[in-house]
Amino acid sequence: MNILDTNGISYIFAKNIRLNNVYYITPDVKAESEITELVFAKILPTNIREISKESFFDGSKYLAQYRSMLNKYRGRSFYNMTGFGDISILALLKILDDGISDTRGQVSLFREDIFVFTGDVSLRKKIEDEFKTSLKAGKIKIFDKTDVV
Amino acid sequence: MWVMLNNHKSTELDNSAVAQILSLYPEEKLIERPVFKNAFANDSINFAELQSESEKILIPWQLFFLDAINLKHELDHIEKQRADKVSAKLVAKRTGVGNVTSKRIIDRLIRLQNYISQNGSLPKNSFCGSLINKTEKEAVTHTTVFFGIDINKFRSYKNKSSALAYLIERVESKCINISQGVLTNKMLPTWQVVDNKIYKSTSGFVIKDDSIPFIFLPSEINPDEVDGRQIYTLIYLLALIGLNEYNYFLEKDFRATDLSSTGAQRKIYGITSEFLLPSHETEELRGKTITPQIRDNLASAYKITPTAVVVTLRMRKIIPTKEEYEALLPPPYKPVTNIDRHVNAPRVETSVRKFCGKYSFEYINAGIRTNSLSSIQAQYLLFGSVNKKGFKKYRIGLKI
Repeated sequence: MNILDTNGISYIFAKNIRLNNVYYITPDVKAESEITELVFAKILPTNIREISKESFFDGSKYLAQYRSMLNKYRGRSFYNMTGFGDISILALLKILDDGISDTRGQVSLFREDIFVFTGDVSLRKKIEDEFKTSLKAGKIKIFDKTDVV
Repeated sequence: MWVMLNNHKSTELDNSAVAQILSLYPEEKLIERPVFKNAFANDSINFAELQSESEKILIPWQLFFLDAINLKHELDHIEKQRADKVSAKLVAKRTGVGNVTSKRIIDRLIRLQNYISQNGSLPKNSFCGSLINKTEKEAVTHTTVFFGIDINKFRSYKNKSSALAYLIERVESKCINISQGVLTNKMLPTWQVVDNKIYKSTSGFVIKDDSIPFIFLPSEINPDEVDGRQIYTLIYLLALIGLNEYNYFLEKDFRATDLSSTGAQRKIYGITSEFLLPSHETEELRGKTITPQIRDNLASAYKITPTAVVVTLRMRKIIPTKEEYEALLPPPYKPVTNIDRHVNAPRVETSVRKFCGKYSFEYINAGIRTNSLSSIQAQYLLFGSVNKKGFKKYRIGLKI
């Protein structure tokens, strides 16, 4: 599963990249990207999807993790209202890393590897701090935004 | 209390933190809002309701997700910003007289000022402190020259509204951001959410900065702020910036403070009066009986209120006795308009331009155009909250 940060969207628009793969974005990244859409006069391509609209997305667990990450990490500012995209990506990674439950509440045995595409050094650092084990096991990988295809 | 999503308990909020956030602006009584009353009673709140309510009260929903330690950190930061930027007297609750300056407005303007400071390399504004050690007359000359104010042009306007607009335009041309209180287009919580009358006591004030000081004029949030009064407020606040005297602000009932003022405060009033009603122009009235007609003629000619005329003449002892002074004070102004009545809202961009001021408006628009601002950040700067409808109209209106 590919996860895209706000700066990845800017990069895709700026370089006119036609995506072959599907990329997911969090609710906060979607909200933050509205100006990007406006500036480039483009709408998000169909290959960039809001994860909150997918049936497997557990909003309840996501919110719980969102709160946890919000209190754990600095770098977000209530004065400037910045940095919440990072928090939302960390929350999403956490529920994906923990495993997606099926409708009976059973954790799926199958987990996709997770690839994060970002140009944000501070987000990269937070992911490295939070998901050491999964990064080491190769279950989560961080790519630069320029690696999108 | 639990945050509920799809009938599931998602995450538990710290009730005392929620209560603390809702008391951030105590005069707004946000804690009494039905949604929050029910949330405390049921020990739960639906996430969609929390989000929607947060947009109405202009407080980000994420703030409610903070634990006690992180919330304290945020609130301390807000307090520090206030302490650095505005007069301690201004933010102190002044009990008894009902003079409570809205901290919400202060916080909004500090946010705008910080945005400008962080995104521009503005030089120091040479007007700041430039009136120190100057006599009142020298201060007036310096101010008119610095801002390029043609005093005859200012006085020649037929109405005070145009004269005020001229002054604002001149002052704004020299890196001073003038913000005006507006109640339209959700620039402040709407009247269904917060009783607008609570903002009425907000005085004119200054937010300190060496490069881009902010002036706040209460304007339409205070129906007592007629144009002549706003002109007086503007010059008074300009004098504060010129004197680096940020520990003062204009009291609601300035007639009393004006007469009893001493030291720095007297100098501030002195410069303001000298600017608007020069002493050499009033000297010829010495020894004459001041009639209400003379008072009103002076008010009209010099673009100030009749009250300001009377107070100034009393300070200069041209009105010699207390009895004459009191007899000449006009009856308290009764606004023609009712603050509760429905008015046709101006265009969103007009309300934003007035509330945010020239420089904030221009910097934010540049941030939108260059994609250096996120959508959320832009909405918080412009409206103090997520306001998708307003933001869409704003962009369409300005074609950005």
